[in-house]
Amino acid sequence: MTAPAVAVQRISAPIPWRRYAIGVLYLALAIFVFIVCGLHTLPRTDTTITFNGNNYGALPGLMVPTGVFNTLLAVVLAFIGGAQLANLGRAAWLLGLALFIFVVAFMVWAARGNTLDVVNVAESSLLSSVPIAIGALSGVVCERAGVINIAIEGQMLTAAFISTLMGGLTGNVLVALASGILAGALLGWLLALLSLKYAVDQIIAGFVIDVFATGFTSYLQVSVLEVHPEVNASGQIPNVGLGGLSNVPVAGPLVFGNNAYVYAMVVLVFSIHIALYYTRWGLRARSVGEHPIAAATVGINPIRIRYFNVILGGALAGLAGTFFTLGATGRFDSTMTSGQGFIALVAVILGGWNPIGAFLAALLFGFAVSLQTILGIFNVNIDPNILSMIPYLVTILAVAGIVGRTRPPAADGQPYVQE
Amino acid sequence: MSESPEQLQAEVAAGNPPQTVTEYRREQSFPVRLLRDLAVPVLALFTGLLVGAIIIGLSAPDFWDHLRHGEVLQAFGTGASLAGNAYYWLFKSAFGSRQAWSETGVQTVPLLFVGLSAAFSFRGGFFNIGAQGQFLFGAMTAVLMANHFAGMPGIIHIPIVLVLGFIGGAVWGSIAGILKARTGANEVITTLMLNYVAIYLVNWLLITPIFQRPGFPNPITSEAVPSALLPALPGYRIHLGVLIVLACAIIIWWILFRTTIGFQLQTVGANAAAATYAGISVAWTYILIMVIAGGLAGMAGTTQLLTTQTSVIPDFAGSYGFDAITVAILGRLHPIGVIFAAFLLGSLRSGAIGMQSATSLPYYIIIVIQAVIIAFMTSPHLIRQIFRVRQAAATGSESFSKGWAA
Repeated sequence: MTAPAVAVQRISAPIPWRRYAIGVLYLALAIFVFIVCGLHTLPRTDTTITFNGNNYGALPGLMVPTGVFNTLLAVVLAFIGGAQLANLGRAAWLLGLALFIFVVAFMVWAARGNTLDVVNVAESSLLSSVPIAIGALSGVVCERAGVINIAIEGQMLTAAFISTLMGGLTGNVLVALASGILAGALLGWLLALLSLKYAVDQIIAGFVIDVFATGFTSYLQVSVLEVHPEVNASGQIPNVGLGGLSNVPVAGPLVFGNNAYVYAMVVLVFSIHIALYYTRWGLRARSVGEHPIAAATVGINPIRIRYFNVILGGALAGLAGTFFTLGATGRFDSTMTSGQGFIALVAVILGGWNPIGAFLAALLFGFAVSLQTILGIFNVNIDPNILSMIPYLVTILAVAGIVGRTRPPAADGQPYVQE
Repeated sequence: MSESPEQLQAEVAAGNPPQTVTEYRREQSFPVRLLRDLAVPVLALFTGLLVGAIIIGLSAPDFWDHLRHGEVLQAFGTGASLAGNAYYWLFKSAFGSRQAWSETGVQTVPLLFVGLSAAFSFRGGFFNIGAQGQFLFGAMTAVLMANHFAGMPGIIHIPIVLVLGFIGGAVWGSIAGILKARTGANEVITTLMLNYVAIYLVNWLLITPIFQRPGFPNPITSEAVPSALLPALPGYRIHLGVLIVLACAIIIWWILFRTTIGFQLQTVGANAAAATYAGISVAWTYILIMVIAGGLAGMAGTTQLLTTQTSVIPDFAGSYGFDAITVAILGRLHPIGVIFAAFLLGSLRSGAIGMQSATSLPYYIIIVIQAVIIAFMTSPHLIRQIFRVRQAAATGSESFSKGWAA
């Protein structure tokens, strides 16, 4: 027998390697920005920054010497790196700030000797983020009540298909919109039925719906829409043009002359945020998501709340799906959602299960999606595939702990069995 | 699925002492057990085919024409005959001739590889949905190495390329394993994100001088040299991959059920906290899971490269990432079950390809059938309610995922 080992108490705090690693990463980013985006263009190149959108020449542009501007940004990035190393300020804010500065530096560099229109960039990013943001709201509504909705992709795809079919058959955009939302809600109900009544694992139930939707829409696209191409025309919801207001500089095109879906997105984000945190329904839903048994003891019916939220989530995903047809192309294509339902799910997690957080995460992805088209205008010799990877890499870094461990609702994904 | 103490008490009070699956199985004679075990999959397949038939029938243009004229019986007649014809060709193209059997085998091989990969990781409680990326990287490594070692005799060349393909997938897969082990990053998100990263990375690599086929403007690699290709049966497309993948299934079965590593892995999958308490390194188990699961998916890409698609293109991985999950669930996460599941899906695929060319009905109907089958396989309650089957204790649904917090 050996003598029992004496437990050695760790007296000093563990070295925060992660914090250091991320701080060094920011410093490396600063050096990169300085050398590539700054020094590289130093002799004499200017970037013109304008704020006009479609109102060409409404405001004079801002001439910025590219090299000097980016050198300044590199200094700011270095400061952020220092703040991270010294543990000043919250890591999540620093990450957001660092990312933002890097993106600005990159854009200014990409548009060197050219014109960068901020309003255009903002407008196309907003538009690209619509399906992701509304899809993420669906995820928030479901997961706050404790049901993981991995079926967002399938709900969006089905809604896009049904809205096209109904729009093509009736020629009425509103019928198309309503039927798309209804299709999403129906699949939400199916998810609720499978996971709540028939006790299928939530992730698998959602996966089943995704697979079903892929097969169903692809099959009908080939066997119906390709045979009757005249039906493959959903119509489009017209842009909201608030008269002369859209000619107001900067804010005009952004606020008063946009796609109807952009307004719907903003309204939904804030109304769901308020509903979730300041209403009776929201409190009940969140309590069911955290601890359904406790909620049941105070007289809340967790199953009913979950049914309601999952069906509502399905309807939201359906609305997001109709964006692809009614808000964008006006016709159905079997791969048109291209995994954006899954990106929405990631936006939910990055946004900390909060509608506004999810919206901000969706904006990041929306920006990344629109970046390819934006950079297509400039003469950038970087392969677009490399740029497309960035949001996914950022997501991996984020879930790997830069933003601190995010905490899902406690009962998220847990089945609740009624006694 | 674990039962709550209250449920257990209620069961005992009602005179039903709790049974473990093993105890339950021992009570039954073999034919009864077989019948019980097969009842759910067979009913699931039947329901899937039924739903598929309904969709085929409803999509027939004649169906609606008849209905419009009030000829209800004729309408259903045309729908049923269209569906019947589709299934006739589906069956004939999957099993109707030796050539059909060969095609079914060819379709089964990659499905079995990715299914084993998914089942292995799910067993360890690691919800890996990254087979697509691992598949791609296995194939990319394989095509590079096959052509790097060109000129070797096949007997050395093939094993080298297979092993390197395994390593390619394992390296890509282990990223998610390491991230989960070191930082606790949720594997559903990391593997999904890594799929997207892999797709864009491969799209880019395909136009770099290392990979792009000389003289071609589009993203495509050179063809794998003939000496690396897996030998096929003369006159057929069926190839050596069938034997390799079956050997892999047996090895995976052996690892899972006959080794310490397998025991540790399943303990981690059942309860990571208990595994830690028992002295098992959960972190290393996660990494190991992803090395092997990633490697298997990489082998899927490699055999695909060395047989039917001899060069890598952007859409090389097709839908194998999602099929992996389907096969694993259908096979109940058991290597032997996965063999049958992959064979079922493989025969649906080869059948659907034949069906599409014979009847011009879209191939995609089998995806609907697959979805219905998984729904029914994972919900014993659903089958019980619809078909009024007395449920066997052994067919309880396994809990695959534990939400995001797992």
